[in-house]
Amino acid sequence: MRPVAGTAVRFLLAAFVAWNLAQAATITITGSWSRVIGAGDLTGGPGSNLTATYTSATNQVLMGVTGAGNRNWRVDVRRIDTIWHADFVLSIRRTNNGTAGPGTVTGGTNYLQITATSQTFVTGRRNRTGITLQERLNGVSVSIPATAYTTTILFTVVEI
Amino acid sequence: MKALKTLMVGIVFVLGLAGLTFAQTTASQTVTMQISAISVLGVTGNPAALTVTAPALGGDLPDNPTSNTTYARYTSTVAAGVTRRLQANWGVADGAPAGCQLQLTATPAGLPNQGSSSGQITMTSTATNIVTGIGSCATGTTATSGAQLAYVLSVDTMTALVAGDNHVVTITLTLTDN
Repeated sequence: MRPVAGTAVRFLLAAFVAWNLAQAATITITGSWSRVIGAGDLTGGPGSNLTATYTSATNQVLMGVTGAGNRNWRVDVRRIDTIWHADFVLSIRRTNNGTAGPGTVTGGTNYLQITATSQTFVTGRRNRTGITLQERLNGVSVSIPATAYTTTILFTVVEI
Repeated sequence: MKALKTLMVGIVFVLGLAGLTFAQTTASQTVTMQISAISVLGVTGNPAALTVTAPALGGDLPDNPTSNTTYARYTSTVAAGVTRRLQANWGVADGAPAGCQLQLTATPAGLPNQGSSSGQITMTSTATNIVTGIGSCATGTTATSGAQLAYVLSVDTMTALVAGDNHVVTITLTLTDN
């Protein structure tokens, strides 16, 4: 009887591990932001500078966190530059509370400057999807050489 | 053997807690910002008429009439290492009154990337540099922003002047890549 009980305990523990791994919170990001800045963005015709600030649509990016079970989580953001300009200031904010799932999301409703260092953007509990995000770029001027600039925003969900 | 089993159970339990506590996943999004090459040029208006008038003292040559009240404003964005130039010309059918030449000097404000004056040129139908070395810049939009345009109608041959000879010409300014 005792060997059977031991096997059962080991099975249950293995199942516990597998369940945890299978239930790890997962983040999904949908959408990207691309903006061409040209002569139409001058503030006042010939001789004027470019508009300094550009914002995406309020629902430019959709974020969802699933597989969180009943657990709390946070989402960290950071930037990985491909070609970027030092004058650019890229920020992000949350524009709704999500549209589906039993969970909640809090924080992040004010613009957070995205840097190369990971920072907490929002926190939440349980599954929540349909969270809309808006991005903003500051620091544009004619002193920035004409070319395409690309950066990748890395979103990481961490269970807490 | 029992100790080994206990150890295994402990490891499995710790792994389970680790999965519970430190699980994380990532997703990414690309942001692309394209600064286009911009070349926008304007002038603040037309210069005053350049009229050859009588000298103060009989026997003198008339003064060369001038006008320096207009400015060329420009906004330019270029790729790294690229510069532009500002050129001027008039049409093939245009010309100065007999005995005269039309001369132009463009003088930028001296701010970064707004370029350097090429000095005084004599207007022809061939586009000629008046400012060179223009990079990414915006001259500004006030009444006196940009490269000041100084026109001079130079009386070269007094004996060729014809009273009443009136010419209206169109000067074309072009901001172009080098």
